[in-house]
Amino acid sequence: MKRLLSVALIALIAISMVFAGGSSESSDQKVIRICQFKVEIADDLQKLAEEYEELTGIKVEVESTSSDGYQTLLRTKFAGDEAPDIFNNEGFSQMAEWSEYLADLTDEPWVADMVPQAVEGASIDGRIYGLPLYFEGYGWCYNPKMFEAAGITELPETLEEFDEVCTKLEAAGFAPIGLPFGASYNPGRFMFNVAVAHQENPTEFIEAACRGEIDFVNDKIMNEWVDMLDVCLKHAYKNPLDMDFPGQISSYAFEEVAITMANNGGWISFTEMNPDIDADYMVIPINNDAAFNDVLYAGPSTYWVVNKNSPVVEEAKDFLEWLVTSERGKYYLTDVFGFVPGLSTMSVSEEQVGPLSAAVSEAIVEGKTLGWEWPKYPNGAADEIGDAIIAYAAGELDRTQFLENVQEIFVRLSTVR
Amino acid sequence: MKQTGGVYRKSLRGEAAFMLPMLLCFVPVIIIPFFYAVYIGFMRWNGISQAKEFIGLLNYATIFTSDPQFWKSVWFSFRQTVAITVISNVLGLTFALLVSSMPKNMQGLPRTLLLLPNIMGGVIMGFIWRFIFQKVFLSIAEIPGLGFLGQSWLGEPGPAFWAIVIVSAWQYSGYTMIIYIAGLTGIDSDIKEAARLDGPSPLKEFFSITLPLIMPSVTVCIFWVMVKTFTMYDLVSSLTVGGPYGTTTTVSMNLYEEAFSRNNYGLGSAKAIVFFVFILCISLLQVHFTRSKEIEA
Repeated sequence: MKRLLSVALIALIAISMVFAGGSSESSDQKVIRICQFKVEIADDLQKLAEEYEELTGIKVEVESTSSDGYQTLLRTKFAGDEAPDIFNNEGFSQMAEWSEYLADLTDEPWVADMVPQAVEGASIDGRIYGLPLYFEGYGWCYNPKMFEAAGITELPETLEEFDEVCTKLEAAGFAPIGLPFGASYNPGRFMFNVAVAHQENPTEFIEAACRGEIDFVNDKIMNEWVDMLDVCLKHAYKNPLDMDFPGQISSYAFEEVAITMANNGGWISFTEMNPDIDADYMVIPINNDAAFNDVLYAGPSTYWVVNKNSPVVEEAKDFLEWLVTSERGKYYLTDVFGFVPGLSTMSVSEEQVGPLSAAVSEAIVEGKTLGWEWPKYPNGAADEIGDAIIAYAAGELDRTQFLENVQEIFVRLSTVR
Repeated sequence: MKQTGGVYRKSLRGEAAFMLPMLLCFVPVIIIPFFYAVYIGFMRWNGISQAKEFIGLLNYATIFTSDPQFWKSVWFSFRQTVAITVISNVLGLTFALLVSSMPKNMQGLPRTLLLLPNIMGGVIMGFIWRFIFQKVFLSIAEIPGLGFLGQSWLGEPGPAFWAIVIVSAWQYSGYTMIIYIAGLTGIDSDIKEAARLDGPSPLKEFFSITLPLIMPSVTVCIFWVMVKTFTMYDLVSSLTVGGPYGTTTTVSMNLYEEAFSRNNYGLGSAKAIVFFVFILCISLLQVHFTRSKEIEA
C-alpha cells in the first residue's frame, strides 16, 4: 500500500512537471504577444487590443509587468522559448545587447516621422530597430502656488537667481527643495545627467571618460554642476539621505516642498495623492548664463521592438503601424495613455496629458531639450555615480574626491569584464 | 544473516522511494543550477546573447584583482553576520530560559509572539520596518528622554547597519528560541538534581551544566543564523536598498546586480562560486569548533 502510494506520488509529480511547461495551442488564429512594463496602461492597452482584434481578426495578447525585474523576466522568457513578439527596450546599449533578436524596422512608414531626438537610441549601424513609444523629460518641477505665495514673480534662469528664489521660499516659511538622496536612482540618472548632457558632445564625452581621457576635477561644466549641487544641499528639505522615492513624491504632493526633480510621469502620482496639486517645469541652472541653461532634459524613455524570430513578424509590424498612424491608435497613445509622443505626427495639449508632459512636449517641438545620456554609460555606472553623489552630500567625499571618484567609475566599469 | 540482508534491502528501497520526490525537486532547482553557475563562471556572457565566450579563469582574476565593491560587500556581510549571529543567539537563549522557566500552561503565548516575526517574509518586514524607522520612531522621539530614536536611521552608514541588525535579530531570535527550548527540555533532570546537591550558583549551574548539555542546539542555531545572514538579500533590499551610498550592500545584492543590472552573467556566477566556497569554509570551521564543545551526559 505504501509502495503504491509512493509510486503514485512520483507519477503525479512527474506528470505535473511534464504538463507545467506546455500550454494548449489549439486554434490557428494569429496571435501577437506583447510583454510590456507600463502597468498603469495595462487595462487601456487591453481595450485597444480588443479593438484591433475586431478590426483585423488578429488577436493581441498583452502581458503587463512592473518595470523593475522586467529585464530579468524578458531573459527568462527568451531562455524558455516563450519570447514575446513585441517588447520594451530602453535603446542605446540595451538596443545593442538585444540586437540579435530584433527585427529591422527601417522600412516602416513611421520611421520618417520620428522626432530627431529619438533616432540615436534606436539605431544600430544606421538601421532603425525600435518604435519610440513615448518621451519622458524633466527639469525642476515647482509648485506655482507656493512660488506666488512667496512673492516670486520671475522664474530663475541662472544659478544665482535659483539660490535667491530658494532663500525667498525659506523666508516665506516653505521648505525649498526635496532632494531624493535616499536611493542612488534619481541622483545618478536625472541629476548627474545635467552635467553630461551640457557637454559639447555628450556621446564623445562619455566615450572619452571611459578611456580615462577626461579630467573631471578641472572640467568646467562638472565643477559648475557641483556648484549647483551645493546650492541644492544648502536649501534641501530635512535630511536628503532619508528621502526615498515615495517620500519625494508625497512631500511634493502634500506641498511640504516647493521644488523637486521629477520626470513628467510624476504628475500622475502627484494628482493621485492630492488632486489639487499644481506643477510646472523650470530650468535647472548650473551657472549664470541664462541662455546656456534654457533647456529641459528629454529622452525616448522606451522603444517597442519586434522579435525577428517571431512567427508573426509582419503582423507585429502592421500592428505598430496601425498604432501610430490610425486615428484610434493615436487617440489611445495621446488621450488615453497620456504619452508625450515620439513621432512628429502627434501632438499633445495640457488637457490631454497634464502640465508637466505638455511642457516636455513643447520643449521637444521647440528643440529646447538636451538628452538622457545615462543609457550610454557603462552598465552599473549610473548607480555608482548616484552613490558618490550621496556620499558627497553626506560630507563623506569632498569636491575633488567626488569628481575623481566619478572619473574612476567610468574607467573601471567600462574595462571589459 | 539472510534475513537481515532482506530487511536492509527492503528499507533501502523504501528510503529511495521516499527520497525520490525530494530529489526530483532538489536536483533541478539546486544541483543543476549550481553546476550551471560553475560552467557560466568560466564564460563572458551578457545573459541575453546566444553566444558565450570561454575566458577561463579571467572572471576569477577580475574578482581578486579589480573589484573593490565586491570585497566591500563581503566585509559588510561578514560584520553583519557576526553581529546578528551573536545577538540573535544570546537573545534566543535568554528567551528560551525565561519561557521554559514559566509554568507549562503559560508558555504558549510568549512562544507564539516571539516566533511570529520569523514567519513573516523578509521583503514585507523590510517595508514595515522602513516605515517604523522613518516615521514611527520620529513620533516616539518627541517623548522626552527618547530623543535618540529620532536620528536618521537609514540615512547614515552606522545606524543603517544597526537597523538591519535590529530587524534581523528580532526576526531570528524567535526561531533560535524554539531550538533552544527543545535543547533545554532534552536535559535529563537527574543530572540537574545531582548537580544541585553541590549547591552551585545559578550562573555556575548554567555555564557548567546547562550550556554544555545544549551545545548541539548551539551548533544548529549558530549555523542556521550564519548561513541566513551571509546570504541575506530580501530584507536589505527593501529596508535600505543597499544605501546610504552603497554601504549596506550585501554580497547577494552585489552579485545579483553584477549579473542582472550590469549584465555580466559570467562574473556574477563566478562571484557566487567564490562566495559559496567562502561560506562553506566558515561554516565547516564553525561546526567543527562547536561540535568539539559538545559533550554527552
